[in-house]
Amino acid sequence: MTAPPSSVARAVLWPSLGLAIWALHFTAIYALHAFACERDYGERTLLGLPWVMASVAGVTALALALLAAIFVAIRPRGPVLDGGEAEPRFTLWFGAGACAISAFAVVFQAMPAMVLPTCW
Amino acid sequence: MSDASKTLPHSLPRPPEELGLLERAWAAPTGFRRLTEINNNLIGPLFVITALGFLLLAGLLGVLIRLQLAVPGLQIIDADTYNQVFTTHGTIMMFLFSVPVVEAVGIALLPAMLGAREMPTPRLGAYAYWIYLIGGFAFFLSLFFGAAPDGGWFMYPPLTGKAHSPGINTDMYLLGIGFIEISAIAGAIELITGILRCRAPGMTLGRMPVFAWGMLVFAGMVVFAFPAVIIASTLLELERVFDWPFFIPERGGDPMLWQHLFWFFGHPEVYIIFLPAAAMVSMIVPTMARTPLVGHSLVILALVGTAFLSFGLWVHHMYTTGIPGLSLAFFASAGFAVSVPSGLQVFAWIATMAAGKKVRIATPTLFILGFLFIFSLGGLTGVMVSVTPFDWQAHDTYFIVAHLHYVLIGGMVFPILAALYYWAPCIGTPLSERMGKWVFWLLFVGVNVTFFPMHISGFLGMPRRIYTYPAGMGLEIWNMISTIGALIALIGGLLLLFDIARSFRLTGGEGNPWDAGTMEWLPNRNYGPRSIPTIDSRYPLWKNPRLSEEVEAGAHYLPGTLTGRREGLITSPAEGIPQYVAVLPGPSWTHIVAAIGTAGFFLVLTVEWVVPAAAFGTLALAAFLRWLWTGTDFGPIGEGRGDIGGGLVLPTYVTGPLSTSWWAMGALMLVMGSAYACVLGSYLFLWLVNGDGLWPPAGIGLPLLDRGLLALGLYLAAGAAVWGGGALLRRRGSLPFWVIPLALLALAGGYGADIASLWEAGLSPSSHAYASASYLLVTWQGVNVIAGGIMLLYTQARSWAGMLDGVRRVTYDNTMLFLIYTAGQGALGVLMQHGFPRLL
Repeated sequence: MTAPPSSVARAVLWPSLGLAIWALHFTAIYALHAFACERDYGERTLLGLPWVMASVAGVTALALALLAAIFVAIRPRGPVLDGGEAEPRFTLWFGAGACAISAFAVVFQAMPAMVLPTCW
Repeated sequence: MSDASKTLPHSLPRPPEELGLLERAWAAPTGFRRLTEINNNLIGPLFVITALGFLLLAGLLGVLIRLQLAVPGLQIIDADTYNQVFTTHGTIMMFLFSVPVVEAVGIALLPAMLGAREMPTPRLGAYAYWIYLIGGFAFFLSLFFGAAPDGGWFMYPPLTGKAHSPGINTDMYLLGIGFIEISAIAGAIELITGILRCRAPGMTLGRMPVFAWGMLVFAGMVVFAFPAVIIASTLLELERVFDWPFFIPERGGDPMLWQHLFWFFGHPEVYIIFLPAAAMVSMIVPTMARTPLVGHSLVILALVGTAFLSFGLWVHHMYTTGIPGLSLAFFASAGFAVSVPSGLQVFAWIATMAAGKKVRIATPTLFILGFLFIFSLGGLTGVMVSVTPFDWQAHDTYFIVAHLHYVLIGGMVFPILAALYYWAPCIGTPLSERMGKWVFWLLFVGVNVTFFPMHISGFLGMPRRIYTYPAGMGLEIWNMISTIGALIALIGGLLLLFDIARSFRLTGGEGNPWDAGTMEWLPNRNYGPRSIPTIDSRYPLWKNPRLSEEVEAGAHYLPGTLTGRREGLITSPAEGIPQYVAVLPGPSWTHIVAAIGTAGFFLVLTVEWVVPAAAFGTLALAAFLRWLWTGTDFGPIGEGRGDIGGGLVLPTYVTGPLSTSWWAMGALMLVMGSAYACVLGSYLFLWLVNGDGLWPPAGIGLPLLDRGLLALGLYLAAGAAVWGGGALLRRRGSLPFWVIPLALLALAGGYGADIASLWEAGLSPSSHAYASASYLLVTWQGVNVIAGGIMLLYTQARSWAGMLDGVRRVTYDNTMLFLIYTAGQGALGVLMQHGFPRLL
């Protein structure tokens, strides 16, 4: 029998990709806002919108687009359940679910930037 | 068994000598040499007992705190001692009980639960235990010499800076606790590799028990969170010893940097200990309800999702520091978001209890019900303090003390006690049910009577960490009630220890008294299960009631030993397909000597005894090298392959990504990458708070570009040399003589140029935070360069000793991975050091 590959991608990378995008998005919006308030970008505009609001919206749109693309790419296309248990496509199901959770968290966290004043 | 045996890998009965050979390979040393055993069946329970010992010690300190505060104006201990007592209480609870006990339960149970004989790096697990035991007790004893830390468990500067804390108390925390984090990281690397690679055939990630998922999440979080506190401790120690002003505003530093780094570790820390505890609950509830866990896959998704989201909560502890409101709102939103997956688990447990047959109300069930009650209250007050304006009022009051104890005791201690009563018969004799119920009620009442009144004393304005308080402010009654509660809880705790001492004996298991469905309830000896079954269900013992018999008879895979040594079956990470049989190390003194050396090095350094510290460091290094030389990379043994049953022939030695060693090194690289991200983050934070014109400030020059470019080139050359050497080793079967010397020269030269770029530019690290941050990049790189240099020399020695060739090259692979990482990190550091201030 030939030993199969260790499938790092299937075991670790694909399932956690959505959550990794959440982490990058969170880091980005916090860093953008911290930078804006430290460097007086709070009052500036970008594309006619407040600088922070526009940049957070842009980063959020990018994150959601990536999450949607990953979701479509890895969602299981066959039966998920096998005898009542999530096999044999558990990791794909898991990766798609992680994208859904991440999308919720991304939207939820970006919302304050749309409604609150920038540097108060 | 007639029908089933047709499909089993081995026919029965097995040859009589087979079991004897297996037992001989796994035989534990006797007498004094028993200490050298590294088997998880011994190290795991020892780890658990030690952690419970620290729980007792820290609990006694907690009772002392409550006695001191029982009535106004008491002087049982003075203010300075009180500071040390509450700091030691918190530090031990967080670093020496909570994290280690979770890791301990994992080491004790996971191999059996996964159907493995042992974890892949048992000596590393044993080293983690010994370093924890030695270092932990040394740390505790510092209290009796007035040398214990006294700045609170989160040790904020400037209070802990040299100006305000000139003694060694702070150093005892930074060095004494800092190195115990090595234990947690070592354990995490072992757990990640073990959980992903050492499972029974067919145990896919979807079928893996929830507790294994919880421990995988735990280990992953340790990998990403603990480096932050290691970097924070390093920065503060560098400031205290060498006057590098990371946290001194007058010279460009900022105390907020400590808070960011510390809480990037500290908040996930709560989930690091809660999520595995929740996973234990997810194992116990189905057994007690006698039905599979409702929403099993969703619970796993919730575990992982909570772990990720918990990294977006660290500013919860910094609401009163002046961070802009919108930033606080980002973190408050993350706090609300994380409650969704957390809540999902609670609903899954309730639904499982509702879906099951009549729930068995035994001691573990009681502790789980107590957990649900106490943790829910802690969760509710958690939502309260995540609302920013509320937190502004409650911050640093006893309301927070109440909240954190409800969360930690409810979310962690009660599940651990449930686990203790539940799994005791799995590894030894059961604890007393009757006494267990007494323990539960005393602790449940004691905890609530102690901590619920603290909500009120907090609302009344009582600040935390005061050693006494004046009469007439309405605080007397609530403090007296809290003290009475603490004494009730103490009785419960002592009764628990009495029960353990009286009832528990390590026997290897007493059957399956709860009729559980998971693998840890199979007969488990020193060698783990007699044979390793194929798994096709999340509850294999429920699906096949005869599994235990078949396993014990040797009907499944690997019922003996292929090489005559300790072995483990290694499977693919996602699908659980058998890949090879790994030869495992056996008992040894090396890891104990290494632990003594490591602990001695850091502890002696605390009192600035440089020469003894160097001696301990040398001892540790020598022990590590001997450990590696004699206990790793055995190469092919005998035929190099063997039949494990069912016609499945597997190799006994592999290299590259197939090997567990590669995975462990990958996990180590994640740790190092995480640490370096914190170093880079510190550099960027200090740049941000200083302003563009002050990076560098007037009078301080930029690092020399030509030296930087030379360093970049040499780092890349070192990486290319080991990478090319690896390719040649595979192709030719031997390592060209020039590879290691070339890599060593390039690495050392690159580092020399890296330092010269700062030194020759006249930068003095104590002059300004810009200079200290620049030197930090180089200093941290130096740690990697020294380790990489030692690894290169070791690899060269293996090559000269004829222990390295085209087939036997695990050692080279490890060195290659580490060097490539070090070269990449060095290159990134050079780009940051020279590019960032110039491109601004």
